[in-house]
Amino acid sequence: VTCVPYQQTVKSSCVAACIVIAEAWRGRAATEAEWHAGAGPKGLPLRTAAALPGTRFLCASDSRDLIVALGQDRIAIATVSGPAWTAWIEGTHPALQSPHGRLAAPGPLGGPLHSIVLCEHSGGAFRAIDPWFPPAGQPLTIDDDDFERVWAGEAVLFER
Amino acid sequence: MSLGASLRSARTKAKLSAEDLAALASITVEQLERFERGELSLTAREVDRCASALGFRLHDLETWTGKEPPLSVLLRDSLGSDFDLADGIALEVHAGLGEFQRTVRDIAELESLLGIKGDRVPQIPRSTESSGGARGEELADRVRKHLELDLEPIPSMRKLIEETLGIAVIWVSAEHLDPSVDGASTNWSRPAIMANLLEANRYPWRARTTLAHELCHVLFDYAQRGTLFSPARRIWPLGGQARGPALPAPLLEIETVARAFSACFLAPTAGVRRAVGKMDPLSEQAIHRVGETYGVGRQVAINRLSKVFHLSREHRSTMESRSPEPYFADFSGDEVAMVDGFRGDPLRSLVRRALVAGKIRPARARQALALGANDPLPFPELGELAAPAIPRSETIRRIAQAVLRERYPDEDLEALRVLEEDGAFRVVIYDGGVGSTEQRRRGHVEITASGEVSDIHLQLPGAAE
Repeated sequence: VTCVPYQQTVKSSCVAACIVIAEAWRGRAATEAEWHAGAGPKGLPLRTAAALPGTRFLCASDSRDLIVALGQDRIAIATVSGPAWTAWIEGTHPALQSPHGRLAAPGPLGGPLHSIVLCEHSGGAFRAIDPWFPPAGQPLTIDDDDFERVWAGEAVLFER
Repeated sequence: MSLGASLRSARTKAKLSAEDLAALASITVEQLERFERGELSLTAREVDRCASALGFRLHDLETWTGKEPPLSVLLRDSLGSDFDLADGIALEVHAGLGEFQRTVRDIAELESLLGIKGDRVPQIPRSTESSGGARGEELADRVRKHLELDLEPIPSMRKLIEETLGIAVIWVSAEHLDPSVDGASTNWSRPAIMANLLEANRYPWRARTTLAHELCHVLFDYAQRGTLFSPARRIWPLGGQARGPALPAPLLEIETVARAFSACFLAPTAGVRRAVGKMDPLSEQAIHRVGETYGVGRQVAINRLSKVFHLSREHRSTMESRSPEPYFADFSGDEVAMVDGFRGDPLRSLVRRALVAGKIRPARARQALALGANDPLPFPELGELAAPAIPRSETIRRIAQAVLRERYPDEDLEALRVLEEDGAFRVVIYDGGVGSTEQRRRGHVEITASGEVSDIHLQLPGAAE
């Protein structure tokens, strides 16, 4: 079973949308609405996902532990810096457009934060799904160098 | 295949027990077995230690197809025997050999990316009718002949090995490799020698002998592929009482040949006769003449004189018991000014070249040099290319974020902006979750230049404002 992209319906529901993707990968049903209910424009903290069974919260200074975990048949919901992620997307996938508009003004690492799903790591690159964008053309491939420049240092690992 | 499954498969191929690999990686057997079954995730550092014990880099495990030989397979291939690696070699030695093997993989990979064809190792017939020391001398003569060295001294072993033969030389010291090992060599993934620079006061004689010894292994001891290590003479004096664990018989024979080779290659029999001329071979003058002419240490000079002039054991003892006087000769080409260990040169220079040529990106450079994303590459002259992937401000932001997670686990707080003031940092904290479109400033965390949290000012949601 691979990761199947899913697009968030609300601007602030990236964590809920990522949970839908991660739970589907584990063969579990989940809906964005049930997870995002009550969160409103404030969105969900990442630790919400870490409360699910078979998950682990990871906070790291660089991506090496994340790479090892993905190599162990796990997937991850990872936080990325909105400005840095937008800069990477616009630089590498200029055709990607979201009905939600632009995620953030492009810039260096820092807030606001956004969440994506990391499905795999191999050959020095991650395969990532961003629920901000439509499923076509996803997962996206981002190499280790670029990933270090967008990752905000936190992730929730999902095991099957 | 998952990392754990690859590790198990490689470990099985290496014939390493879970107990041995766990000990080498400083983890428990239970941790290792659960990791192999996919039930537990180890840290990158722990998995890296497991990979190193097999002579692999962490990313080799990610792509392992079963074809790349683990370290112990290479050792067995060289020895042609099935000895149990764990019984024969101390953990520290094994760890050093693993690091050597994966450094060689990095060198070979970078050379391939750069289009460098370094290997110029000649094929010299290896079969002889003799064995032991006699075989070593015969092989040394063959190599001297092939390289057209006649009876001349070798001004620089290093130059001969690195430049003429294209064999990579990795210099380490007791800081990097257990002193029970003099050196090691391999022809996988490319010919390479590791020289352990022990007894610094004997430079460059010791280094020259080690290089010649390892050259013998590279030229004659690998039928197809292999790796060998050379036990230190003080721990395993051939024919004497070994202070280390028993070495496997094939290694003892290989070592006897290589020790004779190194002495005869550096100071050939006819050359020693010519140098000594009419001098008394027992004299201090003769020892000096051999040492100064051929760039060998006192002990090797005495050994060569004893062998060439058939001196008795008593004569030899007399020579050894005399107070040595230093002799001087210019073999500075074999002096090693700085020992940077496995990740120093030649690897570091190749990493720099590949980086500048655009063949690798900084993340691969950091991987090869065992640096983290927060570390700068050791090439300050390359400016931005060498800068840490994660800027200092982001590292500071993560420190603040970690403190918030620990102290306020039930609050939805995010450290989002970092302001630098007089070398210290103020990290601005907002409420709301990830993806929030409505965030409110809740305070800040003060962090010192050294990364210590000095103060926290927060107005939590629900508290009186």
